[in-house]
Amino acid sequence: MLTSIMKILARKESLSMAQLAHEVGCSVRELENALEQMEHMGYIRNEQFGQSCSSSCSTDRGSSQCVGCGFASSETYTFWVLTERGETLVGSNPK
Amino acid sequence: MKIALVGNPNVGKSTVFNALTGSNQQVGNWAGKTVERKSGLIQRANQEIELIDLPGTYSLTAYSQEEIITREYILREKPDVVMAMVDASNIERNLYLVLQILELSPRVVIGLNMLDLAQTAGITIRTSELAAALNVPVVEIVAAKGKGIEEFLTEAIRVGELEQDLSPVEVSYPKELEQKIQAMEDLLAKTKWATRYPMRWLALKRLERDPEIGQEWKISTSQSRKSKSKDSCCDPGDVVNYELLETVVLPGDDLLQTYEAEGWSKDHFEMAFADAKYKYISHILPRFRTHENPAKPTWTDLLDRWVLSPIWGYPIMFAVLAVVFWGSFVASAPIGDAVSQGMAWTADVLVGLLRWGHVPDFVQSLVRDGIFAGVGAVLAFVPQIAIFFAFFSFMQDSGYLARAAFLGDRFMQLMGLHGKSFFSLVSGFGCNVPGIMATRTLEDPKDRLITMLINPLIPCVPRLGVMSAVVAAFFPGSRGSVVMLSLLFLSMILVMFSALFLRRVVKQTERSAFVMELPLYHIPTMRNVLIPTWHKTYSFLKRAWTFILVASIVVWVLSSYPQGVPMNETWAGDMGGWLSFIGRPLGFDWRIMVAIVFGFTAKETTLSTLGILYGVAADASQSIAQAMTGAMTPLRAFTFLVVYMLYIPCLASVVTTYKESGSLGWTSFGVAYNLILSFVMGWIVFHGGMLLGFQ
Ligand SMILES: Nc1nc2c(ncn2[C@@H]2O[C@H](COP(=O)(O)OP(=O)(O)O)[C@@H](O)[C@H]2O)c(=O)[nH]1
Repeated sequence: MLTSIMKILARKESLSMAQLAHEVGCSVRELENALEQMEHMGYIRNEQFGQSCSSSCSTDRGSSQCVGCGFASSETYTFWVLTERGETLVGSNPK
Repeated sequence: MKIALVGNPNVGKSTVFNALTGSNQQVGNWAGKTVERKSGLIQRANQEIELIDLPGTYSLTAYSQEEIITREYILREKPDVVMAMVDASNIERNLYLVLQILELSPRVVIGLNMLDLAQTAGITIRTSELAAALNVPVVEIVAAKGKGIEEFLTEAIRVGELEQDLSPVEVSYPKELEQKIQAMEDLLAKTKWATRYPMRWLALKRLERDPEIGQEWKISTSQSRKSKSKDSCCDPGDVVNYELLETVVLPGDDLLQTYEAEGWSKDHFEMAFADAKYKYISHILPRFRTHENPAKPTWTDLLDRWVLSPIWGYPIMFAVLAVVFWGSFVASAPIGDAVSQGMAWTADVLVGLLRWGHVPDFVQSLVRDGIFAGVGAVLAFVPQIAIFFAFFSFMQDSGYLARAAFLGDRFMQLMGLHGKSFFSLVSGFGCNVPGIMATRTLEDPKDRLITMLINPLIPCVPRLGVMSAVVAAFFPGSRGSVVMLSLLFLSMILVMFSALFLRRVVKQTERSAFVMELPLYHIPTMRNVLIPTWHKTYSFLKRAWTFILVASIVVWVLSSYPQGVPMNETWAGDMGGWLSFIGRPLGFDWRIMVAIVFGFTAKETTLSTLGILYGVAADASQSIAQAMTGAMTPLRAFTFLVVYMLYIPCLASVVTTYKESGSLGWTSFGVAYNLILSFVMGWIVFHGGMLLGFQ
């Protein structure tokens, strides 16, 4: 399972959790467990990307939008990416 | 007898530990570590049992203090039994740790906890089959209700007293790995370590080049400080000090080097062993677990099958955006007309009042032809812009925007754009300034630079708002939505083209893969749509009163002096005249060129400038939309929109690019690139349109 995840990540495509789980042949929950374990081992890391509301403005709780900082929105994207170590691992395969 | 309690975090260990030890606990720290050490004494029959609650962990690698403490305790202190607790409602995750414990200790009893939660989730675990699969005893417990805890301990004591070790299941690894493990085992069998550690485990760890293997420790005498302090609930724990004597390099370096030459690095071994355990778990799981209602696909899953499909995803995205634009145009049309009329009426009243008050002519002109025409031109579009913001917020709150971003990234792959860069571009849709700042999370400076330079090509929400207002004026009804979509499409194509082009200018590293967690779809609430809409509209209005007011006054001065001459001979006219060599090939008259120049400060000022230069206030019955449609053909308007969308977003974005890149050269390059691209595209659109027979 972990090796298949790494092999899929080696294709350098972006996938949603559901798509990856489908391809690996497990449930999203099993995938989450596996990803967390791989994160713990240092091959991938979880990242949040997007705008965070700056210090001059706050976040509206309901819509999680920035309040009082113009047009910035607080839409954030959470995803898993390979670490350098993970890149090295997927980049080389034992003979 | 010494018993260790292990398990994943939150599995219910403390509940069991507290139930068994009661107040007879000692709390301290593991020597040299910040991790809490809890032990307790239990009296059963004629035995005194020392129960150690080991820190909760998910695995037994050497990556965290908790893991090292847990495994070192089992290895060094060699407890008589290990009580391993697992969560029945998430057993697959818990078994990963169990399999590693079984490699370390032959006397293990499993406590299957959280059975109540498992039952609620429709999960049944057949205990006897689980015991058979692992070849160790399993006891059912519901720790929170105190059920089965005593039986768990009794079973542990029984196993602890057995004459012979149990023979727990051994995970079998692929043949090639088994050979390597065996070869390592053969080498290590001749060393003193073979007697200290379980052989197979030692071989696995040696292949993984585990840093902790081979360390010689001295355990200093444990001083028991049993005096209970007044303020503390519990006795302080024993002080067990471990002292590192030396680190011995175990044999096997030559073997490891041979494997390394075959491509088997320590990470490959580690991953392969972990993978085999995961495979083993999914292999045995069906033997003892039944899931009555295994995660039924939710409607998010069902929708995503279409929405994220590589084939259907794009037509769906197109349709969603079309509905958003069409909806905002159709909904805003009647309000837009009403507001235009309202503005005209206000202008009449205002001019009347000024005349009645005998206010000097130049003030009247400033108010009417400057402020009113300029700020009013922008205000007239506010309802349309607000409705567009509302549709945008709806799309965002529903969870679709994240999907559109995800699909967009697939597109970007073709261009080799870094996955993360793409998200800074998506942030640019909100506002380019934070979009540019979001590039900070990109490690590679080249990725950062490219992303920063491309970001201005993404039309931000206020720009989209103004564009949709202009589109609504020139292309009423559903035509407007087609025009908006074609503009967005053009911007996407140019982002891709620019990524390709800039990748040649700035040599970039390879893109990397990512797995995205998408939010669930939900029906947006009124509040979640209206509040962001209000905040965006408010920001828009605030800018109108500050930036646009100042710009309007400046433009009024430029377009009113020298006095008494026709407008095209004023300073503004002169300025437009100098720029007409750029504007003429695109079919722009001098007014548009002046408006574009003022748009450098903030894009909305383009509208206010046009309002003043087209003399909206001079003819109070005319709205800015009518004045513009009277003065421009649809082709010219479309060309204007293309240029408007593509040239630099605002002064703030340029300043931010400079601050973030720290390079005046690259900032100027970015500005020049934007300007050249926008005018070249404008020229192509204008001449292409004329060739196709448009005016
Ligand atoms: N529903 C349910 N909750 C439990 C059970 N056992 C423990 N808990 C709860 O799970 C949470 C974590 O338990 P705790 O003993 O602190 O876990 P630890 O992190 O392993 O020490 C607490 O809120 C407990 O009340 C159980 O069998 N069923």
